[in-house]
Amino acid sequence: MPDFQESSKEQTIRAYLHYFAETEIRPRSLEADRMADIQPDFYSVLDRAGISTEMMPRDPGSRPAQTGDAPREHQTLRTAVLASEELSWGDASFMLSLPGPGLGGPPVSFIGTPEQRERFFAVFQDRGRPHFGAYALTEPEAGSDVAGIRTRCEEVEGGFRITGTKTFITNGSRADWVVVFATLDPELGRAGHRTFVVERGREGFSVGRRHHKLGLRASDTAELVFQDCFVPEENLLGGRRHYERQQSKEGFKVAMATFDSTRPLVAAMAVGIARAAAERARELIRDRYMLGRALPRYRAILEGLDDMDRRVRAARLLTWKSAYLADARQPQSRAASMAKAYAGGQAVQICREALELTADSGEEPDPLLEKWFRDIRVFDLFEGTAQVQRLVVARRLFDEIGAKVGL
Amino acid sequence: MFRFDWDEDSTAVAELARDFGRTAASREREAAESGEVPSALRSQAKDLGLLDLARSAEHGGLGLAPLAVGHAVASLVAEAPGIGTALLLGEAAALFGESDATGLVDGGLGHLGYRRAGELRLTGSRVKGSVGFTALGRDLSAYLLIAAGDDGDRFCRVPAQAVETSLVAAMGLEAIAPCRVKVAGDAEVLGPCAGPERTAVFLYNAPFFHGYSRAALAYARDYAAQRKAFGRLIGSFQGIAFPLAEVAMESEAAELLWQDAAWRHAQGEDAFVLAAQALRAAKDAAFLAVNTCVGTLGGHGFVDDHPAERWLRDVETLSALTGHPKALAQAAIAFETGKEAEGIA
Ligand SMILES: Cc1cc2nc3c(=O)[nH]c(=O)nc-3n(C[C@H](O)[C@H](O)[C@H](O)COP(=O)(O)OP(=O)(O)OC[C@H]3O[C@@H](n4cnc5c(N)ncnc54)[C@H](O)[C@@H]3O)c2cc1C
Repeated sequence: MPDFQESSKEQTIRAYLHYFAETEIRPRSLEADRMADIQPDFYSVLDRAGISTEMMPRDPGSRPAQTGDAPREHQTLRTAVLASEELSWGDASFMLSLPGPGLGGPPVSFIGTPEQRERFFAVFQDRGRPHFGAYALTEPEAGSDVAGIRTRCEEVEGGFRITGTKTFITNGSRADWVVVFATLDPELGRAGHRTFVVERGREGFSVGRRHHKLGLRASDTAELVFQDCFVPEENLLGGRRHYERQQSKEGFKVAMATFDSTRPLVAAMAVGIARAAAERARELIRDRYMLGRALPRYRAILEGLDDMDRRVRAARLLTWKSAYLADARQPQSRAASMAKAYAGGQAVQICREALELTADSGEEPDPLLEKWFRDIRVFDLFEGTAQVQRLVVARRLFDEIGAKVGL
Repeated sequence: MFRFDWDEDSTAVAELARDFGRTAASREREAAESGEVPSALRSQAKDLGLLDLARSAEHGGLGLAPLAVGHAVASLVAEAPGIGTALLLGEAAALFGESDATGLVDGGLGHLGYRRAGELRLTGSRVKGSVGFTALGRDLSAYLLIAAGDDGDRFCRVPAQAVETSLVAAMGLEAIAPCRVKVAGDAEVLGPCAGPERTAVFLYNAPFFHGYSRAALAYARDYAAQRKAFGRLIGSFQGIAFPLAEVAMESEAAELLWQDAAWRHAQGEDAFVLAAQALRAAKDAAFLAVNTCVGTLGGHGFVDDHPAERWLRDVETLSALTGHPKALAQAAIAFETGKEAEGIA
């Protein structure tokens, strides 16, 4: 039987994070956007509030990272999407800048050996300063086409040498370590892929430029350069035997499996921004008059507001469902892509609609609505573009009847 | 018999504008970063007569008809969107015969209860009020104001001393530097600003959006014709090609709606609603075009290595500066129904 009731624990977490987003994130949001960075004092506030990515499961839907126990309630992907929505309601750049392994977490959890998990996650126990992980798959010439990566890993005595450039890496310049996808030989296609953890400070690993972006400016997005960077054998995720055992396609699968668990989180971020925009539009419209009548008395305005509300709720439900399926360990690639594509696409429309419904000729546009309009655009681009999500959904549709249509 | 080709004069001016745009294109980023059009380019545009397209011959301009002006504006903006818009958007006062040192500030419609803020009130010969977001030329000696009088909007001219301007941090159109304007002073009250005058302003504004649409479509097409994924040109994927075709259709339709409205206006017909619709179509098409352009570039569309993200910001800012489409539709209804407008809910 479907049940849409949040547990009391979930309600408490949601309420707490909402309060935090309202009082600690929102007031910093516009300034952080202007500075293109998070105010350093935020991290101590965050620490005092006890908020960390520990609230997010590292390997949602799979065995918990270190303990091997069943996921505790606060570590389910369902709780994580609630948290993601609330924090992104405050500001999605802050959500993306939460200390922790970030997108790098799932691959380490999925295929890292117990020793590797222990070693790479240990750094996050240090509360002295914020620590980050990152996930480096995209290259200047290969984004959607993950199999087309060109970053090479060459086997050498005691390990590998990595050479290549990764681009658009979230938290790339802040990260203590980065999960890097490379290929033994591009000719081998997916079978040639290997996944490594590369720590900051390794010779031959440097941070290139930080990207200037349309939105999410306070979130760090950087280029990473590997030039003959030696990585020891023990940093090959899962170890050599893992790839032999899995007939070598494992590197690629790791890259993809990460997305199944992170797309619901990204969808929830889009829901958070869209909801913020819809609420703000409502607030701004409430007291306005046109042609001698209160704006909320115009049908067109009400239709606009109602439409936004409906689409936010629909996006949230798709997101919740994909998170639920992950927690229940059921296949959810299609649900995750649907949630991400729907939420990302609708949220772009909602943010524009909010800006335009509240626009008053001769009046400066609302800076928060403008910011969200800029921020939201990437939700249709990263973690798989709108087109790529649709490909996933459509392929699964045809799979249901066993049809091969050549998609 | 209807026809769709341009006359020689309009074509010649449009080509001049396009060629100038091509030389200016390489300085787009510089203009956005410095917040102004490089002065050499501005003088060049002035020498070529591009700043005087709409100004009557009697006032030293080229005296072109709205159709020809729009054709030239779109041609320039398509090549250098930010610079083209910064150079020409503030020239709307020229539509009403004002000199090139006059900026147009629209603070009217207040008599319809249309504005919550951003209103200029005319009492006797005194104008008072503020407009929060407007685009103006630089070094202005006078302002042509549209102010709300008791019985409708009036054009008023005030000297620069009566006007206080301050920059507004907008998300786009950095080279224009949108500003807030505060006015308090005695004005020379000119004629009424009613349907035909507003029609002229709508018609003047729409081609800026056509220019952005053309620029974004061309950029996205060119990118899709050389970027590969999965061993194929991305333009070969329907997920990329169909949206580009959609942009081409919406943009073309918007330009035709505008041409029709501008032509009818020139024939002396009441083209207010058509012009408002054309402007709205132009804005929607431009948004679709720049948004699709960002999407076509994938993650590369989100960073400033390419102009797509700037164009997205620009189009939304331009839309706010010239009245958002929804507001325009409401204005159109308000004008059509006049005092009956209270019944439109
Ligand atoms: C702010 C930001 C943060 C990011 N963070 C990270 C990160 O932390 N780690 C990381 O590895 N990457 C990250 N990325 C990269 C992001 O995931 C890629 O940009 C994205 O996958 C798209 O790749 P691309 O930009 O190369 O576009 P391309 O793959 O070149 O695609 C261009 C266009 O072609 C379309 N296309 C491609 N193939 C098909 C097809 N088969 N059918 C139809 N259309 C198709 C795409 O949808 C897109 O519209 C980030 C990007 C941004 C902007």
